[in-house]
Amino acid sequence: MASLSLKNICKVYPNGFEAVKDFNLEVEDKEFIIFVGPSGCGKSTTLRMIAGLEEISSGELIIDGKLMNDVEPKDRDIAMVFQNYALYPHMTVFDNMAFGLKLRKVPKDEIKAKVEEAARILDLEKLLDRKPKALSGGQRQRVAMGRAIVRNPKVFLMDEPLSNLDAKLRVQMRSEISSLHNRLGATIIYVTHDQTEAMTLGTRIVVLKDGVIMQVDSPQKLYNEPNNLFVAGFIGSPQMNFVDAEVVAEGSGAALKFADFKVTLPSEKAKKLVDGGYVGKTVVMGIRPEDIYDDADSLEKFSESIVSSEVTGYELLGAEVLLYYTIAGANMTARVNSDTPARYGDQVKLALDVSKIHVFDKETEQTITN
Amino acid sequence: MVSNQKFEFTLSEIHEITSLSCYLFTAEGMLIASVGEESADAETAFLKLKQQEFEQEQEAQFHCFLIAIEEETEYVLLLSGEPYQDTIGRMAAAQVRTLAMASAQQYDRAGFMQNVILANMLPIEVITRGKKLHVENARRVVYIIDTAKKNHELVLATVKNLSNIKNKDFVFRLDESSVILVKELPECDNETEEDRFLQETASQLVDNIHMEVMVKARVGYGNPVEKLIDVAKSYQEARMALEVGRVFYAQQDTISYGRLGIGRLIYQLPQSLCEMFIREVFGETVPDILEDEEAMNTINRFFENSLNISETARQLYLHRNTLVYRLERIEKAIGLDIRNFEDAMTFRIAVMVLAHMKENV
Repeated sequence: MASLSLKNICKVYPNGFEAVKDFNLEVEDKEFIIFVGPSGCGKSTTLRMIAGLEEISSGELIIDGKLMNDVEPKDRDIAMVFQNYALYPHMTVFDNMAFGLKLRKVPKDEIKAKVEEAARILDLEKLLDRKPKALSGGQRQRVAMGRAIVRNPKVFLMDEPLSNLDAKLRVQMRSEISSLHNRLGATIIYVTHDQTEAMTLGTRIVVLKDGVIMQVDSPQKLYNEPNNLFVAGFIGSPQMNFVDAEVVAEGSGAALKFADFKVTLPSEKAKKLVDGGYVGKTVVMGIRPEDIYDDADSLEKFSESIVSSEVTGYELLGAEVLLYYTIAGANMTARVNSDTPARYGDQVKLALDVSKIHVFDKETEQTITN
Repeated sequence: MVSNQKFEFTLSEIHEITSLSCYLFTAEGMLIASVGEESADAETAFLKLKQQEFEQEQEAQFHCFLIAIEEETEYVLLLSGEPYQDTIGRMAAAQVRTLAMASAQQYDRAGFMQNVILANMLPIEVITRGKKLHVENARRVVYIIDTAKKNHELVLATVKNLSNIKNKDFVFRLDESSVILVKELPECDNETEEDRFLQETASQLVDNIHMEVMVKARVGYGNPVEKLIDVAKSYQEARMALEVGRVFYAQQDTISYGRLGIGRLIYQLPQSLCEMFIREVFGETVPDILEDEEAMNTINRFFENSLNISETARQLYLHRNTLVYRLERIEKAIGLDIRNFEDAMTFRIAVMVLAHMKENV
């Protein structure tokens, strides 16, 4: 397997559209890296530049210490799995997996050995003689993976390979890809627009927006310590709540004031606001739905950070309930225990876990407290 | 194709001259002609040879010859008996190959379709020849797979294997830079379903070529047509889709003629008219904001969402008010309020005209 280095990579199309800007990333051997972001953010373009399917406008792509910018895709020792894969309908599973190798005139014995090995890894050994129409959706997906595995590449590139599957199969395949990564010990770069997929699969996640890297971190760190407003809003479902708030001094500390409420911040966060000269300024306060509580214990525990509002929506998810309400003109969501008595139209008190509050600069949209 | 009777006749002649028993199989294993001794042993030998993917040239007393047409094995000839000489065997195989090739040319469906899409035939010729070849009117569409002169043989093989070339589809090369797929469409309940099928097929072609051949591919496709003679029109549309797409939709791998929209019209405007239009819209200087990535991304997303501020803000992960502020800033820079349909349309056309002008410089 291999390590990759992307240095100051840019992609500008002939019509002037700048799809990727100054992309820098080091990928370690055997890492499972996810590129995630909304459509048009440049994630697929970056993947294609690594594959050699798009020319790199500027910057350097290095795989295992070798500059790859001008190396033909077939010579980069990579394999790709894309969203719109199609199996060859008239061929057996074996032939489907062997097709790419046959095209490259790989000796028959070698093809046989590689296909059988891939089939063993993917648990397809008993299906090698079947035609695609006799396979289930999951089995077909595994054959598509097999076509990549038989190449025995240094790096696997996957561009939304699960997007065309139904929700149930997607979840199943997600865990299969994860275990495949462990079994192969492969370096994988995986593109998705689905933040849940990103969080569950990746060892590191690259969040992109408008062709620019917003943050590169582990799933946990991205979730707990987003660098900016975009990452905070993009990672997590339901997304983080945001409300404009004024920073007010409170002794040597600070509090956030919005609508008729005031939330006293823990000393560490308050210090960052005070030191940053934010007192008297408007910032964006962020808090995740699961860090808002309506039970009596929490209301007592976080008595310095209580807000109240009318419930405008109630969604029972089973173990939890999503309560929708509005504060200072911002739509907010709380994920509370399902035994909550709150219902649509009720006036409720909600406690914010101040240790989990994020504060962002309103102009730069960068984090102040993380 | 060649009738089995003609093959029987040829094999009989070979048998008369050489005294060898001859057995001709299709590549799939169907015995279509034989002369000489019982064929049971020959069939067993064929199966064994096939299992070994014809790596051996002999099985028991049977000598094996593969008859390939256009680089694909179509028939397998087995010869047995004494006295056997390699030269005799090869001459017999050459005879069968010549017969098969002559017939293939006469019944060359792909060649016929090439002439149809290039409009090289009179309408009446298309109908009569089409009937002879069992290529009749059907709902078809033309895809052009452009791989910029790279790895054509592999692209051709990949597209052929993805298609139903035995019965319905045609796959061939017309020039160095592209592979053509003339695809017969399945019955669809409505236009939306058909559109989806067309787009999915294009995406599958691109993704499979990327995965298997590892060359950059772009696919343009025309509108579906009912009549055989109109396949030429669908081909011309697919060509134009690729050309116009290169100018206006460079980031897209698949381009449908039906979705080129106004780009199709702008592509054909003369430079002088374009310059006049740009002066009318922006005055003498084109606003700098057109080079501002963030602003243009916001505008494009706003257009994609039919000028819906809330939806655009959601997709851009922006607060609604931030988006409104950005749109006001854009209005100041370009002198057009793109929240208004008329202004939005003018701006959209102006940006495309500028792209077209840039292409022509």
